[in-house]
Amino acid sequence: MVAFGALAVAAPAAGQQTEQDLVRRLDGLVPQWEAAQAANANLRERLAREVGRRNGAVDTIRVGPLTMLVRPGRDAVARDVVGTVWRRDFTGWVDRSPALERTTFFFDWSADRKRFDDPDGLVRVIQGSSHDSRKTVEAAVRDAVGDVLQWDLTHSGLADWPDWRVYIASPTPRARLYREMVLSSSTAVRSCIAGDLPECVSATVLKVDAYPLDDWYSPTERLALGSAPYSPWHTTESNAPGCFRNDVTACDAALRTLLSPRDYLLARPRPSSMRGSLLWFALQEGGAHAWSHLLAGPGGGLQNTLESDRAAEIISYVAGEPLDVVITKWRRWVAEDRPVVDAGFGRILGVTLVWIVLLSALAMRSKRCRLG
Amino acid sequence: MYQPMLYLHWKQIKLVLIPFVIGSFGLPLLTIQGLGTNGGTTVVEPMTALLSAQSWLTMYPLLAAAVGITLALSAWNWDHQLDHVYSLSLPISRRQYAMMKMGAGAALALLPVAALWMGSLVAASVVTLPAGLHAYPNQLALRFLLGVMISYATAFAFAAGTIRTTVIVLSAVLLYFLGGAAAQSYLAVFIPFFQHHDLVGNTFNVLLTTGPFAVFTGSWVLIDV
Repeated sequence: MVAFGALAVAAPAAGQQTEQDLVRRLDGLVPQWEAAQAANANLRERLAREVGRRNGAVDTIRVGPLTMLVRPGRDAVARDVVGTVWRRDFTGWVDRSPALERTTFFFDWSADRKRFDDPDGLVRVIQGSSHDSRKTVEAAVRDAVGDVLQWDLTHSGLADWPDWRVYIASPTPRARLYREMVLSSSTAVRSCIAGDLPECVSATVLKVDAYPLDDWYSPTERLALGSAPYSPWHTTESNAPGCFRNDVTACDAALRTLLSPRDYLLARPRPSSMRGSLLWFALQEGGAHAWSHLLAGPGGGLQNTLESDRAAEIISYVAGEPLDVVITKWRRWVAEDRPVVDAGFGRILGVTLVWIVLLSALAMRSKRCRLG
Repeated sequence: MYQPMLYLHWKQIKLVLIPFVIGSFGLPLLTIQGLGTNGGTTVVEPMTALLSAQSWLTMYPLLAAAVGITLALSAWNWDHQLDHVYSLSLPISRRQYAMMKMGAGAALALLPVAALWMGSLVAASVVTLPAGLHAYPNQLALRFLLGVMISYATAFAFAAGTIRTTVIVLSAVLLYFLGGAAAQSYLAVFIPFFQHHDLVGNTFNVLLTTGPFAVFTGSWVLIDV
């Protein structure tokens, strides 16, 4: 009773103390934050001056959260093109990005394109000539913004596993991903695209057991992996004889002994773009704050890599939905764009028939009396 | 008039056409070899199956072109040998004669096409494909038909004309693509227009997409995802 009473009195006091500590520590950070802001503004000013010195006059404009340098009089086209890309491809899921806030872009799409002089690489340059279509220039803007967004992940655990962070701005086209998944060397991936959702969790490395190879690969596939001359684990007939003698049990036992969990990940199911696609899809599902959620992570900073059970938690947190719902939607979304083998055949049929008629007409025009 | 012409053409081509028919029937069966058949236990990985099937892929358009060109050249063979006397002796116009001759060849072209269709259907029905892969026998047969017909029509049109015309047309095409590319590189030094516009390349692309041989650029697959 006494102990319980002491705890009941002590708990709020401890909580209050912690809160006060936090407030004090946060207040202590304010001068540093203000100094950093001032330094950032100063850096931008110096950068603009330096750029102006090297490249002539440039104007600084804001398009959404992006800071852009443009040549005088060309701000309208920059606002139009960059604004369109930002609204269409990023507004829905990027609310705040430290990397974008730090970055300055230079945009120029004109007939008299001059090379932008930036030897220090301080500015992200997006340039198009009059021969580039709007689609090409928009793709360049999207790629540039996507590259910068990836810097946000550089100091997170995601940096170790590029599978998860590539293609943030431009995920692999669904038809290609569908094809790659159907043709994957992993049974789990093939079952996933065929509609087996638990297999999708294994295939995308959202769940990693102590010995994940039997989740990812069939016995035949494990034997092939263990005995492959290009095996990343350097298995040989002496250290893993079972794999070379088609003895699955012995092969598994040898692989369990030989390999650490990190070694298993070298043989994670392909295609790797599948995981990037899932993350991209989760970000779209997550809506306006998805990017912040990814950077923050559930219950604290994003410290771990997306290679363990925590990955499932992060994907679910980013999407704002239970994992099985995200996976179901993502699989359906990929399968909706199954490649069509006879795509465009109608046009080819029409074109070929026209040419057959044309060539037949030419053949009919040959003269009756013509020798030689 | 059409029947004798068909018979004449058949008589002349049958020894060449029969191997083509057998080849057309057998090619789809060769494509699926090693993939496992219904009732068997061997099911290979999808990627292995697709790569195995794709190793035969180039044979289909080549066979289509070979069938079409052979039929077209054989259609005019005896006319050229006899200096077109036979056609001059007939009580029909040259246009009607050419049309009937073309029709006879086109009818004979249906034999290898039908053989390939049958072979594809048989192959599709006996093979056990890994999950996710499908067979497309009808699409392949239709593509083969178009490939045969366009090759036939092109070669027929050339063969119907004089050798002089054929040489002039082919030389002009070759000159444009080979000489044009060189001329373009030279002109680009002096005229900026040619630095930004690849006329020869664009022509080639247009021919591939909307030209007579567009059908050969598509996907000639019996097995795919």
